[in-house]
Amino acid sequence: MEPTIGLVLTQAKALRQLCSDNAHGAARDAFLARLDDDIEALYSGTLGVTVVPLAGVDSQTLSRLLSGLATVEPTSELVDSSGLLTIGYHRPSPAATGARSATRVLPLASDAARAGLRGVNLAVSVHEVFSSPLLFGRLIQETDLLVLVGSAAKEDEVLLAGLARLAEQCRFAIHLALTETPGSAETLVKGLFRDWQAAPAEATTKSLLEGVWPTVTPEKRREALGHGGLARLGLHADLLAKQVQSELADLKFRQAEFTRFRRGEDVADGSADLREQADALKASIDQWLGGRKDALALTAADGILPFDPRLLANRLEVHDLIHREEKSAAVIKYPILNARFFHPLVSHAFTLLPDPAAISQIQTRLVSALESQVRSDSDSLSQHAGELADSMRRTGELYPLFAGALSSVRLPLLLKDKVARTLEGVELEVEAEDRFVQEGFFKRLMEGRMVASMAFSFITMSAGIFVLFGDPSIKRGLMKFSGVIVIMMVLYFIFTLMIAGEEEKKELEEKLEKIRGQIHQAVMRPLAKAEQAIMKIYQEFIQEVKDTYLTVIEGVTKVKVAEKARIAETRKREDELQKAFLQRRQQSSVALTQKVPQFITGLDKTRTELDKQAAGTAAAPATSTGLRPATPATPATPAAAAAPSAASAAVAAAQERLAALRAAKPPTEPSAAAPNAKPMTVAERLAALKARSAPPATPVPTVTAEAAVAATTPAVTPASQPTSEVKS
Amino acid sequence: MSVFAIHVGNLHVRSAFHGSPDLPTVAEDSGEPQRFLAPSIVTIDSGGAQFGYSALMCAEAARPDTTVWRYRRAGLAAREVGAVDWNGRGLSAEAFTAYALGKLDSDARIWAPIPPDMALVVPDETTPATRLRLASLVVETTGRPLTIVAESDALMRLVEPTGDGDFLVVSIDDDATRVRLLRQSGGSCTVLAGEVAPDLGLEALRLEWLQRWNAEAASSSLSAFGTGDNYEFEGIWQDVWDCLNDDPRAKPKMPTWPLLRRSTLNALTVPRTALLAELNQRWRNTAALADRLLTASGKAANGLAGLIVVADRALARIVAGAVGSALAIAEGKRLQLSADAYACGGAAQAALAGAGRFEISEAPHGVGVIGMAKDGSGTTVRALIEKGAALPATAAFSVMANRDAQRMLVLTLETVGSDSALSYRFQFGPMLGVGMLRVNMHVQWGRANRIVVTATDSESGLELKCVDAVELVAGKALAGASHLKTLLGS
Repeated sequence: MEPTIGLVLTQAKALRQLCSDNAHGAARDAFLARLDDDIEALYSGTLGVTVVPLAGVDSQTLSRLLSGLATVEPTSELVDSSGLLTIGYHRPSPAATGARSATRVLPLASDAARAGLRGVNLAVSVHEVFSSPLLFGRLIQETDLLVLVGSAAKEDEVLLAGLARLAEQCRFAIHLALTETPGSAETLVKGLFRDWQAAPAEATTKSLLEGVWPTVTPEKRREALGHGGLARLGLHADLLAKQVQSELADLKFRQAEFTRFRRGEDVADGSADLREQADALKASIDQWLGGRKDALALTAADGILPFDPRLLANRLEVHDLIHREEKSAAVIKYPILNARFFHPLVSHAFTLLPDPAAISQIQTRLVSALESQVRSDSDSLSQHAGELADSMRRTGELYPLFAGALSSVRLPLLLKDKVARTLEGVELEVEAEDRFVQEGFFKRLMEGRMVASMAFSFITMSAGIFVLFGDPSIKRGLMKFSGVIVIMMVLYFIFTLMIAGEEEKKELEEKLEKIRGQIHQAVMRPLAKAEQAIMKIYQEFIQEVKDTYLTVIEGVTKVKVAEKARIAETRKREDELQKAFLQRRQQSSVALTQKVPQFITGLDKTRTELDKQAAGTAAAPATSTGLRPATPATPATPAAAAAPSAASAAVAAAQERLAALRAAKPPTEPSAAAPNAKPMTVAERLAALKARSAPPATPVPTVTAEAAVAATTPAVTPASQPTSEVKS
Repeated sequence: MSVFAIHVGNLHVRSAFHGSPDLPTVAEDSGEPQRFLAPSIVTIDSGGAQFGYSALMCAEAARPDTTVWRYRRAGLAAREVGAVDWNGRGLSAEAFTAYALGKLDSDARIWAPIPPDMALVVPDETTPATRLRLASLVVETTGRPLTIVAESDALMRLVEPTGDGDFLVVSIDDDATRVRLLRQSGGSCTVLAGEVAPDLGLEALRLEWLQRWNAEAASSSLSAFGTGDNYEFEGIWQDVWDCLNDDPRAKPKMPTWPLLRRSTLNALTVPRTALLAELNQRWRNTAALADRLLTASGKAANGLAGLIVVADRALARIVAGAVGSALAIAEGKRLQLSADAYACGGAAQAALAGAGRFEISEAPHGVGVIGMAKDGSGTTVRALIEKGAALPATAAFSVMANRDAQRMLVLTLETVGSDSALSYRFQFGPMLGVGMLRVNMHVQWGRANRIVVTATDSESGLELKCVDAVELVAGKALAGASHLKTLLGS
């Protein structure tokens, strides 16, 4: 194997290892695939050729040039259109291969592959390709050897710049002049490319495979492959460095974005508003409860019954009083006095009692009134609770976190049996009674006599005064008046008999009032107890309504808090995973940012050394590498010999640029070709380079068994080697 | 005194410091510290707002609620709504300017020893009303004094040492190429005439390149850069310009970038020479444009005090060469200024002039509140402050609010005596308790053109918190200062 190829192969493997160890994801796949392609090309020794048609090249010439390279013959339509025509494997395979597409791909013929070609790119429209970042980038990526066809105007700046950039990538160019006198393209090639050769005149009538390709010696192919591979490796390392920089920025952004995204989630889920909404709801419920409690307090003060409980006792009438006679001593002594005839003659005493039926009725009325009122109150309370529920449902939009739960709340019922049990316990215990005396005939007569006696005594006493101090006739006159007294007694008796009924009635009324008062007292006792019990039931009910809502609110709050905690836990887990992932990637990327520049530095150093080596080889009269012609490097054609000053200027410019590039390079560092290997000292590297620049017989340490096989791949070498000019 | 000035373009926000020697000349992007040119793009989602490169990254991995908001210079005067965020707020160019200034200023304050004063460079054609609105929005958002400088004034501040005279200014802006004839006299600058070529803006060029590169990539079944609102393309765009701006004598190398698509590595190489040739071709008509302007304004090219070209270095070289040669303007009279010249000049001008006072003495239009008509049929607008009323003016009225139906009170003030479909919406709350509540409203229109409404709960006598205050243009709520403060705080 060519020492350069072995060296490039080692470097390519080192870069591949670097990518494999530190790159991630799609970038890793992409770079590994590219490097694998590069390594495969180095092993197989196949070249990527780019054909750049210059001025004066027609489509027929191009078709002839490309014939035999593809499995299908490139039509003149294909080579006459715009863009890039690729023959060979292209990554990625374009879907469209039509003539209108900027890139068209034809499969490489097996003969071409056997001849050592990896692919051929034809810049059909040179200006278009050299102006397109993507197409030009592809040419740079895939070119080991450049074939210029035709002649070019040196003032074509786009072409010159493009070729100059391609010359940085591949050092070897072949110029196929279509006319006898070489044009300015030849001088152009001389100025830009380190090595170039003019294709023989007969190649103009043959295909590239038959005419141009055999003129490239196997040694030159290997050199072109080595230098092309090295430049490509540098390009890929540069791309990797940029990709890593971009990835690092992306990772930093993702870390910041991750935190920001989480903060946005916190804002969006509205959990911060949970406590506020719950408090507002509780305040509303407390306000409702306060209103109901005030109303109950008012009810308690006024009493549950809608009327004065005294009215219940007032229902008791005289006829509801029971007269229980107390037998007098006379009646006990002489039971005959109890006979119907004698009954009015003597006085009778009675104990007055309320009729139990009337009491029972009062009790019934009391219970009915309570029942009716409780029914009304419970309806009212239920209505108020319903209003609260409606309010909660209506204002659900204000409390979005609780809206669902509040709309499905089942309100408690005011249990009437509980009230009924209370009312069943209402028992009226009345112990009211009074005494009533019915006066008899003799009693009344006695009262008449007493009145008459009193009047008589008065008159007698008055007469006595007249007897002592006045006319005795007055005494006689007064004494005569005693008969009137008797008449008065009788009249009074008759009078008392006449008003006896009214007197008894009035007395009974008085007694009834007293008994009513006693009954009212008796009613108030169970009523107060019942009212107390009912108020308690009412209060329990409204408290239960409040508790129901509070339970729902607390439940929702707990669920939300638990959910938040769960989400926080899940998020924490996810965050840790993501952070670990980002950190891992960042570490790898940072490692790459440190290692890739080292690798690029090593690669640049290698290139510089190879340049020096090539320069040294060019200075020698003859070498066995095949890079130099047997004859001194003098131009074969008069035109080349009389190279215009423009070419010299271009050469000078290229050298100046190279010098500038070298000057811009960082200080020499140990080779990064094999990052895991021990860094070589300068002396060791110089020794290794000397060994590599030795004749092929000298074993090269970097050449592997596979490389050795690849190096011995038979190349199509014509029996008569055409004279070629090699300039360096 | 140090001044921080910005000049907002459709593609980038350019900034500059002036004054303090320990400050850099430009503000670095907080998301991409290696770059100093913040893309004029903001993304807004529920997580907050992102600006510049961070916004581009955010736009690349956009969530469903992400709004991409780009500045549009043409929409500045008309208050066009460029985008609507997830909160339903219309995002205008004015709001973008205020946000960008607030953001860059807050970034700058992280490392600036003393907070610099702020300046804003606005297009010449910006009307006093727009300037007043801008100033009001910026001052309310940032709480800092502001100086507003016109582009021409900012530019002429940089060229003042060259003396008085008529200058031909060719400015390659993001949205167009502007050719202006400016007269500099005794420290004041007058625009004599101007021509605008909208198709010669950098935005049009960027779009063309983007479409071309997308098409080339699509022919290889690759997706390239989409709409271009992504970090990758913006980075390449700026790198391309860095490469183009390099001095050709230094023989700059063509940079290459990776284009990773479908696990495939593609290389993108800037064909520097081809792009320069394209720029040359594209802006070759600028000389004709300048010549037409001079002819129309009756000026001779040899009577010009100078030719000023404001553009990126590569473009400035091309345009200055083309226009200068075509109009036979001597080399010594050609001045090339970089694209951040407006920001630099604006900062210098603001340092000289000091913070401006943006006040009005009388109401440009009336404001009223919608209420029931006296006869009870329909609604009517009850005028609170009449048009032409001396400012500050106040008005008071009361409204009844049903706390059972809503917790927030929304008040809309309509304009009276003006054709503009402008109104102001204020939101107060939350209102505690239940039932109807009388709320006393107090409207105050200050000289800074700011309408402030306070609401007082008549039950408790406490002031209700104003949670939002927005301007509505044609019924669309514009992002106001309170919204921008929220975005700046995110």
